[in-house]
Formats: sequence, structure tokens, C-alpha cells
Amino acid sequence: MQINKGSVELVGVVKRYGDKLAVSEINLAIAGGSYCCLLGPSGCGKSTTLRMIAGHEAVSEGDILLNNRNVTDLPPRRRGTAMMFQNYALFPHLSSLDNVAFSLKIAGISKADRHARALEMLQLVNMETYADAFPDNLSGGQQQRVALARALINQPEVILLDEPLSALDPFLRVRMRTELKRIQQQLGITFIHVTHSQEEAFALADSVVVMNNGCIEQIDNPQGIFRTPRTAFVAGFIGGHNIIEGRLTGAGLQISQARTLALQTVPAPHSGGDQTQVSLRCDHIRVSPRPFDNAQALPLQVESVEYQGSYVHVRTRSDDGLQLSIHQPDADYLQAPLYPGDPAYVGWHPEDLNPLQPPAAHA
Amino acid sequence: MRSLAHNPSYLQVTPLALVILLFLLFPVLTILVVSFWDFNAYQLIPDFIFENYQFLLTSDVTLKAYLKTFFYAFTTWAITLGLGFTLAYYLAFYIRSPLLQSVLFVLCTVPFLTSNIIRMISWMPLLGRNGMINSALQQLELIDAPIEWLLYSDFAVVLAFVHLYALFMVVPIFNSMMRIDRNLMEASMDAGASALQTVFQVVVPLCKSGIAIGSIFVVTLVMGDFITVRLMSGGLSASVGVLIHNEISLLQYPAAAAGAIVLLLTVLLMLSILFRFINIKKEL
Repeated sequence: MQINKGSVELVGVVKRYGDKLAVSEINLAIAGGSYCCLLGPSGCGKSTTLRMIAGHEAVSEGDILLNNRNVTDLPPRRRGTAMMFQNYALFPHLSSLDNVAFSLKIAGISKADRHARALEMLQLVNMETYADAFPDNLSGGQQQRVALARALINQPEVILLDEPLSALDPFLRVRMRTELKRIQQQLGITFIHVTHSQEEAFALADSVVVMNNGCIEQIDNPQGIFRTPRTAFVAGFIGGHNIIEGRLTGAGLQISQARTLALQTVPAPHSGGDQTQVSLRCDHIRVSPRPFDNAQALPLQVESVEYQGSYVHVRTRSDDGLQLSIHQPDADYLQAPLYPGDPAYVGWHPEDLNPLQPPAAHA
Repeated sequence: MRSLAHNPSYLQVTPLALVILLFLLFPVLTILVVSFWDFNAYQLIPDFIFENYQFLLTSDVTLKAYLKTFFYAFTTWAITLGLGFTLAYYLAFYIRSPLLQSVLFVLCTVPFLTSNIIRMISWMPLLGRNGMINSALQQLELIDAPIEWLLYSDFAVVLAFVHLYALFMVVPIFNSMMRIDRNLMEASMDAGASALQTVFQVVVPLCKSGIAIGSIFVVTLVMGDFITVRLMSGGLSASVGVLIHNEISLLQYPAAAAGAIVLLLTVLLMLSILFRFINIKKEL
């Protein structure tokens, strides 16, 4: 497998709708043969970015490179990409086989040839027994397999998937997720997958691109995203993190007169003052009704306790404004249960405080 | 009565069944019966003879009228299909704003606020021997003598038909186009299809039902018409409808009835051929 085949690069890509900026100058390099997820809330520009790579949306400024070849002005088919649409967009008047063979028919390949090749693709997605079925008679998962086969038939170097799993029920979603990853690894081609579910992105991606407001907030592998979110938005969006705001002093992060948190790495102050933010993983906080070594001197108060199975979600707050969500392992909880109103002594390793950058400047 | 008590749905369809029986089936049966009657210059004689049909089916005039009617129906169908599809395509896929879409759609129906006859007659000052087109062309010295075939010709008849019935093609096609998922067009482009290929490989197959419904409207309306042909051809052409109308004017009701029955069977035959190709029920 060549490393460079199917690499995608976006250079200063901008998309405007009239005066409205949908995507503001993003730079992104996706390695060939990797699985990349564009993650963000709806309206963050991730779908627009995908559609620009596919060629279904014109680029306002900037260039899109595929295999180091500038494809910015090429029509979709000549880019070497194939798109899988959110609702699959299967042609209702064609059977599964003819749907998969559609682009070959357009290319003028004889019926016998194109059907043979389409059948091969259906076999890859385990749908060969449904070759003669029409999309209306297929379930969501089956339609998706056919759509995937249709995207794969031209041996594209890059497959673009627009929220491919969002129309499926949760059980099927997990199964198709595994299937997607299997096919991607089997074929070794680049997958670019748009999603708003961090669970999906973490499960699939080699690299995750978190987007917000048309800007890229962070590019990293899933571990990097979760362990060291770069901005408050990323930490909030992926969940499982506390965002703590305070004033930067010599001693650390000052929350209030009485409380200063020690810092391992000193974050960059946010523009306009020495206010700054750090993130702290909910499952990296130790909580106990009694003081313990390395615990913060001032206890917080337990607000609510929710049992979640493998962990217990404890919400705590203190009068000085510090609020912490804590995921306590259920074994610890059972040993010394906390109840609303109890004092909660909390502690963590100083290196668990992850300094956050100010949000990306919006042009 | 037993089945009625067991299945009250029979009761529910009774009103509609009665309406159809009274206003559709009964008149048609009457026509069928009358078509076997005898007649002379001043009276109808109840009878059971085949002379009306014999005369009708062996006459040269009938054959000519049918050929003419088929010609009108086919030409009008082809032109309204081309026009209707293009118009509907523009409305459905090029106009992005739903408001403008409905405004333009209503605009299409404005001619229907006037009666058929007025819409036909309004062509006359335009197309006549000394009408606007001829006088304008003559004043521009593009022609020496007025163009004769503008009015009272097959051209005029087809023009009027297209004008009258194009909308019957636009509406059902527009309707089925609006139901096409826009992602399908992109999926087609993604597969490398050009705009024209997308139209013929994706849009046309998915509009089949709309095209069929529009075709039924246009073909049946043109096949049964007599007033447009009479007015616009100036009495120079005769369609099947005109023949029937003439016979009614001469009080030859049995002959007219026989003509009507044959026309009805012809149209039903044409429709059954159409239904063989397209499953309308599936689309409704």
C-alpha cells in the first residue's frame, strides 16, 4: 500500500454563502489510506467541507489537493472521490445491482461487464443475495451497504461519507461502524466521515478533526483529542470534561480568594487579561466524603448523585463558584457512598489540569 | 342483503357507486343501445341493426377523420410533453425559493381563468389573414403576401390544442418532480453523469407516472374535441368529434351514437396500452 495514495489536502479553503461565512480558511492534510472523521455540531461547516472535497459545492477561496493534484475546479467524477450520501440517495427506480452499476452504465460499459463488477461489489458488502431488490424493499442497513458498494465501484481513492450512520437505529449503528472500519482497512483507501457523534469518531478515526463555526478547533488522534482537548469548545463537545475558569497567578490558577489550583503547565492567558481556562477529566477526579492525601483543602458540596452502572456521576459545587462533575468508579462509591448535601473532598494530579487555548479567532 | 350486514363498507361505497351508475354508466349504455337503432330524416326507430356500424367502419370519411384525429393527438402530445417537461423541470429544479415556485406555478394557471372558446378566439386577431403577425411581417417587408397557413389550418389547430392543454402536462410532471430527492441528482453527478444523462437516466424514469397522467389528460381531451378543430380549422378539417357533432346537428342520433362508441373503444384501447407500460396505481 502506497502511503501517499488518496491523500487529501485543503489549503486556505473558504466557503461563503452571500455574506455568510460557512467555512473560514481551513487548512487540513489527511494522510492517504487513513480514516478521518470531521466532528462537530450541526451547522459547524463539516458537511460543507465534505461537499467541497466531493465537488458538489464550489470553493469560494483556496485549493483542494488530491494526491498533490489540484482538483478545486474538477467535476465530482474526475476527482477520484466518491460520496455516500446521508440518506444514501439510492435510485428508487433501479435494483440494487443497477444502482451499484449506475456509474459504469454512464461510462458506457456493457451490461454483462457492469453487472459482473457490481455483483463483486455487492459481495464485498454481503449484499449479493439482494441484487434484484429495489431500495424501497431494503432496510436502512441494507440500503447503506448498497450505497457503500455504489461508492466503491469506481475504485475511488477517497470515500466521502456524510453522516452515514445517523439514520440507523443504535444497535445497527454499532454494527455498521465495525463494517465500515473493516472495509476501509481491507481496501486501504481514505475514508472521510462526517459525524456529530464523538463516540463514532473515536471508534473509527485515525485522526479526528473537530470543527466549530466554520473553523477547525483541533486535529489529533482520538486519544489526543480526549486526553488533551485544545480549546474549551472541544472539551465541552466531546464531554466527560470539566472546564475550570480562573485567574492566572504565580501560584497557579486562582478560582477565588481562598482557592488556587496548582498547575503543571502554565496555559497561555486569554486575550484581554489573565483569565484562563483549563480542562479536567471527570474520571480523573478522586472524590470522598472524608479528606485524603493530596485532596483539595476546601471541600465542595454534593449536589446530585446518579448511578450509571460502571460509574457514578457526582455533581458537586462550592460557594466560590467551582463546579465539578465527577465520574466515580462504582466500587469506590459502594465503599463510601456520597449523598446530596455531603461535603465532597476532591483531588487530582496537577498534571491532569489541561490548559486550554482561547477559541480560534474568527475572521 | 346478508353481505351488506356483514360488510358495512358496501354501504359506504353506495353513494359513489350510484353517482357513477347514474351519470356515467347509464348514459353510456343509452348511447350503446341507441347506436343499434334505425333512423330516417325525421324520426328514430328502435331496432337492432348493424347498419350504423357498417356504414361507419367502411366509410372513407371515418378513416380520414381518425387519421386526422390521431395526427392532432400525437402532435399535441409530443409538443405538450416537451414543453411540459421543460417547464416543470425549470420550476422544480432551477427555482430555489418555494415562494417564487408557487407564484410561477399560479402564473401558469392564469390562462385557465378564461373559457376555452375565448382563449381560442383570442388567437384570431393574431393569426388571421390581416392579423397582427401578417401585417407586421408585411410592414417589415419580410413577406409580400399574407401567410395563409397561420389560421384555419392544422397549424392553428395544434397551436390551440397546445395552448389549451399544456398545463395538463405541466402539473402532474411538476408534481412527480417535486417528489424526487435532490440528493439523487448529486448522486448521479457523483457517478459521472452529465446534466443531460441525469435527466434521462434519473429524472425521466422517476417522472414516468407524471408523464403518463399528463399524457392521459392530453390524449383523451384531444381525441374527444370538436370545437377547437372546427374553430381553428375554419371547418376545413374534420376530426372524429366533428363528425359526431355533424351527425347530431342532422338529428342522426344512432349514427352519432355508433361513432361515439367506436371513439370510446379506441381511447380505451390507447389507455390500456399506456397502462401496460406504466403502473399508475403504484404512484398515486
